[in-house]
Amino acid sequence: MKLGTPLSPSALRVMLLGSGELGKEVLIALQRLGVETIAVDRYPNAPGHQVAHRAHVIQMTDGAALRALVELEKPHLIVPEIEAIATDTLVQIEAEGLAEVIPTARAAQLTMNREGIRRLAAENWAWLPRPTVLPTRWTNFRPPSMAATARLPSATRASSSR
Amino acid sequence: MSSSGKGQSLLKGPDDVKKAWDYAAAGGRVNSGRVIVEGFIDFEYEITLLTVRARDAGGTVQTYFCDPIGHVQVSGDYVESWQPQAMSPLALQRSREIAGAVTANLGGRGLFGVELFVKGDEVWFSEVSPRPHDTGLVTLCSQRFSEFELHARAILGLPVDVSLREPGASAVIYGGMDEAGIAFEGLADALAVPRTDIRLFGKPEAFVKRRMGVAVANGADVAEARERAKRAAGKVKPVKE
Repeated sequence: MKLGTPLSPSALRVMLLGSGELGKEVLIALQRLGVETIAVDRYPNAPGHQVAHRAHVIQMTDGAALRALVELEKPHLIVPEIEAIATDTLVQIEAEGLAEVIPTARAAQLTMNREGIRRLAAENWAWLPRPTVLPTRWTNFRPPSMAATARLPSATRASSSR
Repeated sequence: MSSSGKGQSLLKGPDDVKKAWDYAAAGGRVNSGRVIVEGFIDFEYEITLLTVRARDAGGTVQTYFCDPIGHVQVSGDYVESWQPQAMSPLALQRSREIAGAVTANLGGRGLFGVELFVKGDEVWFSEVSPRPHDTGLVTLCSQRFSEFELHARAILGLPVDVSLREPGASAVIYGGMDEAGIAFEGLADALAVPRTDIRLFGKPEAFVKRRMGVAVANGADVAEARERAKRAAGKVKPVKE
C-alpha cells in the first residue's frame, strides 16, 4: 500500500465509520503517517470529526446514505469503529471493489451483534459457556426443560439480529 | 444487543425465567423477539486480549498478541483497565489459542479486541470486536505503540511492534450530568499525580454516565498505576458554566 500526500491525487484515503474517542485516536495515528482521513458519525462535532480532513454526519445504518457517501469520498479503506452500520452495504462495497473494508466486510457483519459471533464460536469451537442456546424465542422456549438442562443459574441476553 | 451488556440478567431459579426474558427483550437495541441463554460462569477475572493481524517485513500476515488487559465493568461499562493482567502460563496460552483462531476466521488486517473469562487455567470466549477496544485505552501509556497506532499500521499493511513498555492503568472520567458544552476543572491537580496523562474527548454533549475522558498512568506495578489513574480521574470535575 502506497502512502501519498493528503489532499492531493496521490493521497491514501481512509474513512472511519464511527468517530468517537477510539476513532479519534486512530485518525490521529493515520494522520501521522500522511493519510487523508474522512470521519463519519451520526451526530455533528463527534470527537473524530474534530481531527479529520473531512467530517460527515449520516445514519450509518442507512445503506443508501452510506453507499452515496462512499461513492462521493472514494476511500481506499473503510474502517468501522462501531457495530451499528449497514453491514450488508459494506459486503456489497467490498464485493464490487469500491473499497477495502477493515478487517473484512464479513467480520463487520458477524460482529455487529452478539448472536453472529457467538453462533460462529458455537459452530466451530467449544469455548462458550455451557450450555449456550442461540437464539431462542419465547414460543419455543420451555423453562422447565431449560432449567433441567441449563443447571440454573443461567444468564439471558437480548439478541438484536433480525 | 451489542457488546454493551444491556438487557443481561442472572437467573437463579425457574421463577426468574419470565422476568429475565422480558428484561432482555426490553434491553436489546432491537426487540427481535429472540434471546440468548447461556450457562453461568463463576469466573475469577476477565481480560481483553488485543490481537493484531499485520504483515511482517516479508509481506505475510502474522498474528501478534499484546499483553493481557484486565478490567473492571460496572453495569456493562468499563470503568478501569490495566496492563499486564497476571495470568497462569496455561491460561495465557489458551487465551492466545482462542484469540488466534477467532481472528484467523474473521481474517483481514487490523487489531481485534478479544474478550475472555478466566478462572485458574480455564478460559471461555465472550466477545470479539474487530477494532480497538475501550479497555485498550490503557495502551496509550503502557505499550510502545498504542492499540490505535497498531490498528493504523496494520490496516496500512505496515509491520507492528506490540511490546509492553511498562505497567499502566486507565480510569474513566464520566460526564456526571446531562448537559451540552460542559467544562472541566481540576486538570492541573490531576496532572500533578506522578506519571499521569489525561485525554478529554471533546464530546459536544455530556450524560451522567457518558465517557467524556480518561486518565492513564504508569507505575512500578499495576497496583501503583491503578491507584494513580483512579486518583487522577477523580480530580477532574465536570462543571456547567
